[in-house]
Amino acid sequence: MSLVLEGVSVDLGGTRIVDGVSAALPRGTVTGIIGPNGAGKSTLLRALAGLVPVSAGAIGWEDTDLLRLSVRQRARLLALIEQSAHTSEPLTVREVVELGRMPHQRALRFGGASAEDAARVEDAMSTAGCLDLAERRYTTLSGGQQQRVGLARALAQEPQLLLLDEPTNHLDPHAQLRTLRLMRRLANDGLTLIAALHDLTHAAAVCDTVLVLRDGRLHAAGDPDSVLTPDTIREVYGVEADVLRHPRSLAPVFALSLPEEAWTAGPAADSVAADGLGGGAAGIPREPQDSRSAGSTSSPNAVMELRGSAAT
Amino acid sequence: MTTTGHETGLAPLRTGGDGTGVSGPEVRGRGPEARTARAATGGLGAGTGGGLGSGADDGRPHAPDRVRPGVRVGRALGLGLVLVAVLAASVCVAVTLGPASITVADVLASVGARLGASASGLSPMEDGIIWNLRMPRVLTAAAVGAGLALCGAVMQATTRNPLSDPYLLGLSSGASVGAVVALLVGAQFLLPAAAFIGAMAALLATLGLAQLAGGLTPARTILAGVAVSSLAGALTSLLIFWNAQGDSYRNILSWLMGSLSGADWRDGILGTVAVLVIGVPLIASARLLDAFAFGDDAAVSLGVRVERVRWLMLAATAVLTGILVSMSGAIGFVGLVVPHAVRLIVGPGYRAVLPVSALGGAVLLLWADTLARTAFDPRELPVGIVTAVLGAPVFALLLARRKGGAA
Repeated sequence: MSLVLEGVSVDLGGTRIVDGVSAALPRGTVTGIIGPNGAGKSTLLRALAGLVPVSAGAIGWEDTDLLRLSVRQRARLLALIEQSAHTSEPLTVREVVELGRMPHQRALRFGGASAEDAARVEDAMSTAGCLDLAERRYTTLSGGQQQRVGLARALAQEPQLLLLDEPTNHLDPHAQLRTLRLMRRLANDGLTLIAALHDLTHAAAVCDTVLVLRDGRLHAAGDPDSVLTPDTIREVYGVEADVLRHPRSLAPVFALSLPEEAWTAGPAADSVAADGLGGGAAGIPREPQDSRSAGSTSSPNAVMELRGSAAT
Repeated sequence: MTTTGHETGLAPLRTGGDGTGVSGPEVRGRGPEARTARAATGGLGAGTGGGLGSGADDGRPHAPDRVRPGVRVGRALGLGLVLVAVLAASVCVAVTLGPASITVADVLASVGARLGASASGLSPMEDGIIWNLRMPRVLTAAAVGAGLALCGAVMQATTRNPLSDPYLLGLSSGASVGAVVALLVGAQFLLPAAAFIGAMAALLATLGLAQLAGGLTPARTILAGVAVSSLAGALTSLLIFWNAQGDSYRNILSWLMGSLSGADWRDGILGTVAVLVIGVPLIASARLLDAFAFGDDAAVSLGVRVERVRWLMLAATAVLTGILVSMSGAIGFVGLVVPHAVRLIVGPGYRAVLPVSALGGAVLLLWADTLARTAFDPRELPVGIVTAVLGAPVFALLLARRKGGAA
């Protein structure tokens, strides 16, 4: 066991945000932290990264007490990739990634990056898939590209632990899958990854372990198949879940719906989509259609009703 | 791991559904083979724009925002060396300018004589004009310019605010209160000390207020500085309104607008030493300023103790600014404009921005002061007016260019 959390609690402004979370996460695995908004996912990550103080409990990494490390020692051990990183400085991608070398450089010095720094930066950009962007200005990149640069900067820190705060958020499907594949590959290379995730399908696809947080407490923990059950999902998110299987990879795919929505209207939604009535005017009911199979029968009346509501 | 299924499902979407007229097969960003192939053919240096621009993820051409590696480093080094030469030449030339006609050869002879070479052959009066009047003033101008530009760059980084300048923490208005008090009580010889005390009092008030408001974050620091500045400014106005007449009014006005007319060797040496003692460590820790680019949290995760670094940096720049403002009065625009101009040439990295700003500020203020003392001879302009008249249009031009560059 590599990363061990023992009763970790975080108080912010007098409120307990994370409450007594304990877990043991082996080296070379991907751990997903899931839970509704405000459950404490990001705060737990930020506590691990040293951005917010831990009010009670202990965090150990192998033989070291993580909470006793200096800011700089911690930066050599772990890297945090936040949801989105903004700057107004016209830095190039290479310059941004070079920042990741700072924990390994002397604080007071003259002159530029060493040959070793340059090589690490190059490696990190190549692994994260942004080598071709090296001389672009960071501020001109798309969200997906910026995310890859953030990953490269984190990798340039040569961390053993990688913390990712909702890494697939705001990304298009291609960038999402690309990020997940890279996470998997980094874990296979021996890195330990912890990611706050919203998308249950993503969590099931990439994680070895899932920690489910609810109101700051650990609600469930274990491998995705045993944790991400309809019961747990209902308890934590208050939504009904149907666990389907991806037709080719057989990975679990989650079809979600609100309990009070009469999803007897569901099949109709499929035909609506097939008719090309897109645009999200139907709001919430559109969500589950992605994962529902298109083979269900539909009643023309239901279609008419939905169209009517969509038009208003 | 099971993403292979997703990927095969995705491939047709990527090649068929683009619709933006992108030609050629979409192979980029797919696995390590594609990447190494690209690295091998495209290389890293110049000219990669054509090959990569056509297949960018976002479909936009992006040649204009590319910055070739090495260009910025080369520019910074080149500009630095050029500025060192320009500064040395400027000192020699600026000393020759003025009512008494003196040549560069005279200047070199006089300096040579002081350094132990053969006697200069100049009359005592010429030698005195060079060595006792113009040389200390030129040196003071260079030191003040270097220090202000350096402090401006550091302030802009630590507060993440492009409008920050060395007077941000209420320093100039605090110094003004001290200076005006000294001038009003007729203790002109106490002016530098009084101005420095005023500046430090303002600094402590600003930092204390920011700390009281919950910590030294950029926004709180700036707001606290604004509050202290307003108060000190009102105090200065009140003092002038009640007391100042005639000569002391003119003296006060000249000091408030910034002037180096009283500069002597003490100022020149004190200013130079202060700039070196405080500036060199600042330049050595320039890398820490780069870490502020993405905000405090990102800096912490890069191993920077943000609060401590910000305290140290602000305190160092404030002490340096306090020393400079006590000898020159409040000279505006140098600390604001020079770092921005330098960034446009050498890029945003502070390892280059800090030393080049210092050199640029030295050259700029040296010439601004030379202009101030010679343009309307025998009357002297406050140098603050010259820097504002030069600085404001240059700043406007830079802003316009920056917008055009679409960075």
